[in-house]
Amino acid sequence: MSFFYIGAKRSTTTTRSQDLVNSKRCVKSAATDALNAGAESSQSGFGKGGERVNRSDLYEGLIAIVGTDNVTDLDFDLHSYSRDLSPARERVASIVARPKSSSEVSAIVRFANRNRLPVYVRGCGCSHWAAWLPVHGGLLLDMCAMEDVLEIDENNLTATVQSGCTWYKLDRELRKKGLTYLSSEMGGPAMTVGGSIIKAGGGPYGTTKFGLHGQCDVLGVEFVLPTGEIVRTGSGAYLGVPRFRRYGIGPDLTGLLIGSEGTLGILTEATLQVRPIPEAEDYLSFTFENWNDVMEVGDAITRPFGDEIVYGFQAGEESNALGTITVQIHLYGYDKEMLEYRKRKLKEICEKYKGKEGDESVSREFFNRVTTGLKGIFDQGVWHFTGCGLIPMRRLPEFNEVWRELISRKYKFPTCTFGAWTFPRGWTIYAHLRYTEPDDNETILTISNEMNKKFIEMGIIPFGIGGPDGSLPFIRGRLGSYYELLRSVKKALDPNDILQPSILVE
Amino acid sequence: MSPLSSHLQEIMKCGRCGYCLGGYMAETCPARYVVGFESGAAKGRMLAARAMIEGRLEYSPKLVERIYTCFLCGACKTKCEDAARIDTVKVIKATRAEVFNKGTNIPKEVEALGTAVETRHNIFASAPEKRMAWITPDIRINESAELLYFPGCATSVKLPEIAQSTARILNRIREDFSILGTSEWCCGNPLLSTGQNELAREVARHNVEEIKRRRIKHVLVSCPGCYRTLSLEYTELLGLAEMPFDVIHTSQLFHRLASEGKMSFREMPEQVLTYHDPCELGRLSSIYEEPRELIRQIPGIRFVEMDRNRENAWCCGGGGGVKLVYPTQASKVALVRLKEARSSGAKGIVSSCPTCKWNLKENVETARSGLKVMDLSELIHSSLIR
Repeated sequence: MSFFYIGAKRSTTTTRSQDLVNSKRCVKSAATDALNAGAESSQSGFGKGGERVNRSDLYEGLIAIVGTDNVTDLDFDLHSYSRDLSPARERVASIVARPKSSSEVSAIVRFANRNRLPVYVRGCGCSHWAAWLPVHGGLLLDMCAMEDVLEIDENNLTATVQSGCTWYKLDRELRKKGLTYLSSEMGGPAMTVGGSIIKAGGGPYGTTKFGLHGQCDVLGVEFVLPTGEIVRTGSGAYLGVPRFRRYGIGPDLTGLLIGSEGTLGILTEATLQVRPIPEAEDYLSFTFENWNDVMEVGDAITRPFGDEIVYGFQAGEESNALGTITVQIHLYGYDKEMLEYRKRKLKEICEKYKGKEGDESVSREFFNRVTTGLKGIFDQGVWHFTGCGLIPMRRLPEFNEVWRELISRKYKFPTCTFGAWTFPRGWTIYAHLRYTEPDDNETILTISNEMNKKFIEMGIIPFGIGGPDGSLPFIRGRLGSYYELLRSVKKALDPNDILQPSILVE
Repeated sequence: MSPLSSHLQEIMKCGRCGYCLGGYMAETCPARYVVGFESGAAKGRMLAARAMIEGRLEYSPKLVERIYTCFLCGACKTKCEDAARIDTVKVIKATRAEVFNKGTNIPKEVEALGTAVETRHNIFASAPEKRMAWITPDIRINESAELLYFPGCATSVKLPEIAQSTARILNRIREDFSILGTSEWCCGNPLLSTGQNELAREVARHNVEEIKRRRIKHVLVSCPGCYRTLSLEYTELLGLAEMPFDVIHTSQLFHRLASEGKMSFREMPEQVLTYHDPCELGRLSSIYEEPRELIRQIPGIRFVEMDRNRENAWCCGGGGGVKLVYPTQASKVALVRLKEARSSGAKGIVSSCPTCKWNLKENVETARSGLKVMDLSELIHSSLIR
């Protein structure tokens, strides 16, 4: 019987075994790679300490679980899963499987444990911090076949979906019943509910009022532990009880999955709070000259905590037009009178801080295309989001100043936005670079690494950590006992370190 | 530079946003729906194409199969208009040309298609005379007419009822037309779809010369594939600044004639009909309204839309050569569309494309939809005032 490294199998062009390195070296070098790498192809093997795996057992074992049509180790299939939205280098898995149910996911992780097989998990694959790229090769789970809307409970205002369901699909189904989720990131057609939850995601839509949808709207989840057990959290943990309540049964184990970046379990189902479509919505646009004023407006509109007067508030400044900060605002009301009141109040606040009212259609277009996709998004080049994360309410101008220093003065990068949107009592900020591949990759990574390092030193809570190609190198050594606890939890739940190894937890 | 390498810059524009994945499996991309893996969708195809250019992929039978499992429906291209504006259809065709030029593991059906066109000048390897078999004694053809009817391979050989209906409509309204007869060769669309660009150039040259020789000013087509190829692809293939004749699709001509009052319709038995947008006529040529307006003009017909229509229409499954090479995949996609048509409340589904009719009709029984499938020309013909 022949044995070989999984990363080398079915590679039909080059001898991948030459590329294989053991996991320790891979992790060590990857941190350096994050500083240096362009989009070159990486090694595709995983090694996991150099274990050898029988090829046919692996392939056949997975087929026995998910069926022939849902397993592939063909080179072109693997390459088509080799990158996320970021400029991170290609990472090629050794094999890809598409589970269709929680029980299949369970069988897969049990199988992976037996074979010490690293398992990486992705939805539609559009993370921008290398959240799932298979650093050690191994098995990549494409969760998009688990895309069903399982239940819409119109009484409890909840929706239960499989984790591979996109926000776009969920919204379509909700709207048929006069409901929506009212809080979301951009990019709905390509963003899964599962992906948002495991990264604790948030975007500009509805966030000012409801907070980050990957956190606040989650009422319970079903997930598969790294050892294969299927667990439900929240009220759904009790058989026969509807999934309507997150808290109340011991500690909040739903929170264990939120933001875990897939390291503590594989999310298979989620129950979300949904809301009736508001009767009245409107949009406003303003421009401001400095970020102090924008901060004051954000402060004022979120100070009535729990009764924020807008749904969404997003501000942005272009690197080639410093001093012009455009703000898009989405207002709501369950009756028109309330909407008019909010609109009047908002205008007073903006005018107090020297905001100049602009064309509302810009805001309307922006917020209306949340689930269907924004227009012309790559007109100035492909994207890299960097320096993304959460900061306290009163520190917005400081972060903007660092961004200006790096982007406009030091690197003079012409196509970059500094953006911010409010959540109740804080800001999410980001730098959005548009660039040309592959010519600009090196510059992009240099800027990106410097900004990430600086922002993390200043105390940003990063939006996503990812692995060695993401922000992991920059948080190393900064998280103290919390990180040690996280490691202990990871070790307890995933003793063989098969799930998302080298992502988030080292 | 190889056919694919010339598209590298275009491929690099892909930001991997995933809009082309289309929201969910059966929503936008039929290839992703049948393949399952991301290599079915444009996002994965761009990454794989880059790896092909860089010599990192072997042209294995499975790779070739994946490359040919795309319906070229353009749904990803439409989605990408909001993102990187990549002409994904062009890039995917270039991957096929690349594979075909390499000559490794080409599906036998693709090779047979080329041989059929080369030797018999139609995609079915039928005798060249079969191209004229649709002409029944009652149909009048005027060899000196300035309007040339170019039925195309599928209409002539597989769906003669479309050509017959078209000819009878033209006869009825006294619009003279000629044909190329056995001098009509395949337009080249299936060749371009399968990467056989050189042979496509040869047939294009032949067809253009034949049409020019007859001093034809207007060419009428039933097939959206012929429409796009004759009106758009030939200029690029032959390096022409513009075509020496204009090309019009039957739906456009009938619509114009109805608008000019040259056609009027009788009361039809009550029926609910929906319209299926052929990808090459709708999404890829922006002809959406003419067929709809015609159907709505017919008394007795209640027109309903399917959920996905116009640029969002789901492909019938017959395009991109998939019906010829992988008919099972074509059927899988057709079943989704037939189910959707049924859900619209329609009892019949009208299209303006022989391949759409062919593929949908072949799957009607499996779908148990009870739908009547017809071409627009048949509907118009049956409802014209006699």
